[in-house]
Amino acid sequence: MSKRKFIFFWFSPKTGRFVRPEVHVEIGEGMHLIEENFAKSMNSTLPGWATRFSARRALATTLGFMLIAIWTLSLSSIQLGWPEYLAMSLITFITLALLNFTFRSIFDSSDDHLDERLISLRNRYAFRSFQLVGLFVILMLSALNFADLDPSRLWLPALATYASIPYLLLGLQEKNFN
Amino acid sequence: MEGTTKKDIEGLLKNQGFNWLRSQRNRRIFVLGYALILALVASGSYYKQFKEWFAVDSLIPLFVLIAITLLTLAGFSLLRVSVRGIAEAPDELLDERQRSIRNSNYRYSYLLLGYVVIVFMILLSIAPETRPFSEGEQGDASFVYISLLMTMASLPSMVMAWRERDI
Repeated sequence: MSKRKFIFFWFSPKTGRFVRPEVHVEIGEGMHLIEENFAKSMNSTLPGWATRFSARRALATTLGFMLIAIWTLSLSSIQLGWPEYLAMSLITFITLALLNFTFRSIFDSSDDHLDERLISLRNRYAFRSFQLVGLFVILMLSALNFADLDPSRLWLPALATYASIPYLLLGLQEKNFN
Repeated sequence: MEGTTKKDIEGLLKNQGFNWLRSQRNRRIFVLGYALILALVASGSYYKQFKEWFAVDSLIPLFVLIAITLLTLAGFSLLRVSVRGIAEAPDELLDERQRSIRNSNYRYSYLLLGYVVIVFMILLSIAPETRPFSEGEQGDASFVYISLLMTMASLPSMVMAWRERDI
């Protein structure tokens, strides 16, 4: 891997919010894991609901349905007013924000804020997300052949899909994250 | 899903040729050149004369079209050779280190994809006709779509070729 720092302009949370387990080692008496400290430091700082897989899966499913609804409306000839678009955007944004919170913004965090396991988890999902977006773009370009689209209506679904897919996959697949 | 074969990847991982593509400096120059080719392909949608020229009953436009296609495909193939196909290889064909390199580059590729999507949406907004290969007199967005597909296919390899010192 390259040793020089690779500079990339992106929005990242500025403060690390991860709690790492603390292991106490007493030299001379062997290695002792202080169970109380370990258990305390391993406790999640997230609220209970945010650590449950079922809750995250429900959020991810809601987000998935919202994206499908947004795409369907954008590709169809149905004309909606700004209150409807505002409501759709708000629901999508709130659902995505909640999912983002339950995964502690892992996908937008830089390496400095994550440990090795979390970096590996984040990068693994980046691989799958890229593949899924690629598949999605091919499907969209195929649809363009049959539909006469107004590009201005594609901004919201395109950006919402791009921002959501990593957290959508994490929410549907990652069982052990707290 | 990865769009490649075991034989293909194993061949690329053991490849001893194309030594000029092994240094990071040459890879970076190559990535810039390839990005320029993709930008030129996309710009084809915005020249009405370009489409009219292709409709002329002559061999020259046909040769130019074939040359552009070959240049793009050759660029894509050489890019894959330069990173030994790691960007497209499935987990079972890579060792742990290669998997880690591939996945970390995919993270940057995904972030870069955000900028690509925004540029694509802007290009689409000012395209004369969004329907590809339309029969209208104005140009259409076909070249933008071709360029986008090639960018999507090449982006992980481009990022890897740019970032990694030793592959």
